[in-house]
Formats: sequence, structure tokens, C-alpha cells
Amino acid sequence: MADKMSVREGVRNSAVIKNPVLFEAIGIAPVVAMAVSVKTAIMLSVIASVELVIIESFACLLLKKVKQSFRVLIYAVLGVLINMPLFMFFNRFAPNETANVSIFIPVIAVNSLIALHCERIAVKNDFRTTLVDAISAGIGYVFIIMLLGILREVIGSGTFYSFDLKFPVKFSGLLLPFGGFLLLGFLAAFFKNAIKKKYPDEKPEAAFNLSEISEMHFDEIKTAVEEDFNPFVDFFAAKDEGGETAEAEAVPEKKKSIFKKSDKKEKPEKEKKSKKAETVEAEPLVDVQPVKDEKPAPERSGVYESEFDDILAELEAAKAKPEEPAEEAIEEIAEEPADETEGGDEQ
Amino acid sequence: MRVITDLLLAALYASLFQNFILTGGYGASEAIRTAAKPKQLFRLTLFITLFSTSASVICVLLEQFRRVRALGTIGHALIFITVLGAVYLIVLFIVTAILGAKQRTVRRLGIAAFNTLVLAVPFINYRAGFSIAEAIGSGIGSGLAFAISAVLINLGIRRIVKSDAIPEAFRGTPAIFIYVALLSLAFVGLSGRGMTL
Repeated sequence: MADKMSVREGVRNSAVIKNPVLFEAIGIAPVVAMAVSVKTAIMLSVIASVELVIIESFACLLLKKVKQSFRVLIYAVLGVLINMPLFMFFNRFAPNETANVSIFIPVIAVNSLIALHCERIAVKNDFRTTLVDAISAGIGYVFIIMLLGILREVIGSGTFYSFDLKFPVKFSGLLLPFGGFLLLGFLAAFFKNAIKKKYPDEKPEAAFNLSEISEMHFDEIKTAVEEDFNPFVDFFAAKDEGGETAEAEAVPEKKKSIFKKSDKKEKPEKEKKSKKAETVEAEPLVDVQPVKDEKPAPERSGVYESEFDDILAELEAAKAKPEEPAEEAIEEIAEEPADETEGGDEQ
Repeated sequence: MRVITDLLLAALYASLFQNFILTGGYGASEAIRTAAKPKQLFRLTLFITLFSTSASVICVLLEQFRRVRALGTIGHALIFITVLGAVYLIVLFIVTAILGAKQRTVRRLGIAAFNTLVLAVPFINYRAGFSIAEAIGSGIGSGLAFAISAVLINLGIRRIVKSDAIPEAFRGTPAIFIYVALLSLAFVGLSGRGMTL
């Protein structure tokens, strides 16, 4: 009874909860590329399951003491050797279908499903456990290949086992690998939901580990591009340090205001005005002179903008007042900053 | 000049216009799994490029023999896997005995050498009748295709993992498959292949 239970559990785990295709994302290539009809699905199923059982058993019985680096080579060579008679058999009875999947039959020999199951189970367990795993993983794999083959043939070609179903519409896009991925996604969601309902404690998503997803060298490249090869990085660094470096001084006034534009928009109006009141007195209008004050660069660029806004506001105010001559108002505005600059320098 | 053009065109064909992984499905498992563990990406890409390029060049050279050309699919498969095995053993020797690589790197070497993408490249070269320059291009292109696919999938998975808008049933591999399907559709469009719906 105990043995019976363990077989049952093995099948449940390897074929359903940890389905190799749906939840572990292994052995996908033949499924998405070639499971496009019932006939090709049968061929792929037979070859994949026979290979899986034979190679896993072989690995369990004979390859436990062989180094891992040599075992993977043996799996691949064995896979091609097992493929030979199967290919000849199918070529004899279904030559057209065999011609359609001809590349994929030898390619199944290096299917990741075989190598992973051999390394995970076969070389670490006894023969019985290995056999149960091979058969159950094979069942899970075959089930998905057959289901996908049937669905894609019916929806994509409008036929079933080459028998025309006379559908008015055929979605032939599903015969492409994209269709395979799409159907796999929906099948995975469907089965995940069903598994959760039947076995609430099981977590099929745990079969595919996503904990290391953010650890990527891509971030390092991004940092290198943004910092090491960014011509403006020194400028921004100088601004952060308070605008003391020569590079910061060399940047034209116009450029500074462009860079700070987004920051300025975020500032509240009151804060902007108070800042203007603080800095206008100390700020030189002409930027090319060496800075004597200790004001940081961002503040100074903000000053120019606020001054400009101020001038505009006063011009508008002058326009709004018809009794005051416009020319006088402009002269006043033009004189103001020069006075303030002098005062700032003195301080 | 012609040689360089052929090489570049074949590399572009393999990596972008007919991305072997996203439009062909070859090596899709490795790309998806690497996208989920991206620390391995650069080394794996390097090894895949090395194996696919060297195997495809040697196989194209062997195709010059009339006896080899006359062989069928299974005969070619035997030759290709023998060549791949020989290249693997040489690289394994260099990496372990000379460079003293760690066990983890050696494990990656096995994954990089024996996968559907690397074995499919010599087959594609053979079917397309590629020259040596084109074979080099398709080998390099397949490595690039792997890197492009893995990076694109990784960027997508990151968003998928963070998103709360995805229904519970679609979280994990279902959403990843659908995302890869959309990527695959985009690359099918890039290849110029039409679809009659």
C-alpha cells in the first residue's frame, strides 16, 4: 500500500503539480515549435517519453559514478542513438509528418527535460524512484504535447487527425511558435487554478524559482552607460557638491536652466518666491565671473529663472497699468538686478 | 567584402529577423530559465556562441565531403552530435585543466553545449546551404539571439513579478508564457512572415 501511495504521489508531483512544461518551463522547444497537429504530437510524445525512460534508467543504473561533465555528453549521444530507430519507424509509416518534424526529432535528443530529470532524480535515487519519475514526467509531458497538438490542429488548421472539420474560420497564427506559447500560458493558468482548487496546500508556481530575477549584470551595464559614459555626469556631480568645480562654472546659463526646468516645476510657488528673496541679493547676473559666494549651483540657476519670471511678471503688471509709462517700468526692472548684484558682491 | 557582408547578414538573420529562440522556439527553455536567473546570462551566452559557432563551422566544412552530404537527417544528426561532443570535450579540457574553472562554470558548459539551439544551428546551416562565413554569422547570431531573448524576457518577468494587476491564476509561468508569446509575435512581424487569420 505504501509503495502504491508513493507511486501515486510521484505521478501527482512530477506529472501534475510540477508539470515539466507548464510549471517548470523545460522541454518547451519541441512543444511550441512542432506540436501543431495530432500526428506530429503523437510522434513527439512517443520519442520524448521513450528517450526519457531509457536515458533516465541508464543514468540511474550506470552513470552514478561518472562525472557530471561527462554525463551530459552521454545523455546527448544516447538520445541521438535512441532517435535513430524511432525516426526510421516513423519515416516508414508517416513519411510526410516525419519530413515536417525532421529537425526536431534529433533535436529532442538534447531536450532539457531529459538532462534535468537525469541530474535531479536519476543519479541521486534508486531505480524504482527513477522509473516512477521518468514515467510520470513522461506522462505530464505527453499530456501537454497531445493537448497542444489537438488544440492547435483544430483551431489553427480546422482539422482533426487530417480530417476536415469544415470550420468557417481558421486561426493559422496558432501554428507558429507564438501560438504555442500563448496556448501554453492559458493552459498553465487553467491547470494552476484547477490544482489550487483540488490541492489547496500545493504551490505549482514554486516549481519555477523567480527569487533571483533582479540579480542581473544588465543593471551593471546600465550603471556603466549612465555614469561612466555620460558626458554630463561631471556636471551633475558638480551641482551636487555645490557648484564649486570649474566644469560647473563653464556650463552656460541657458543649459543650466534647461536641466533644472523639471525640478523647478515641482517646487511650490511659495517656496520659489521665498528662495528668490533669499538669493536674488547675492547673485551675480553675469555668470562667467568666478563665484565668490558659497551658494550651490542649483540655487543659482533657480535665481536666474526666478529673476526672469520676475521681469516677465513686472512687465505684465506694467502693461496692465496704463497710467505708468511702459518705458520707465522697463528701465526700473533693468536696473534692479545690477544693483542687487553689486550688493551681493559686497556682502 | 562579400565574406563580411555574408557573415553580418547571417548574424542579423539569426539574432533579429529570424530570432532562433523567439520565432523558432529553439532553446526557449534555456532562455526562459536563464531570464529567471540572469546571473548566468553572460557566461552562458559566451559559451553558447562558442559552441554554436565552432560546431556550425566544422559541420559546414564536413559538408564539403560528398559522402557526408549524401547522408540523411539521422546521419547528419550523428555527425553534428559527434562534432558538438568533440568541441565540448576540448572546451571542457581547456576550462578545467588549463583555466581551472569552478564546478559551477563546468555545469554551465554542459547546459550551453547540449541544448536545442546549439544543435539546431548546424541543421539550419545544412538546410539553408550556408557558406563558412554565413555559418560563422549564424553561430554568432544564435548567441546574440539567446542574449537578446533572455534580456527581453528578464525585463518582462521583472514587471510581471511586481505587478498586482495580474490575476492569481496567471502569476508565474502562465504570465511568462503569454509575455514570451507577445515577444515571439513581435519577432515574427520583424521576420516579415505573414499570418492568414
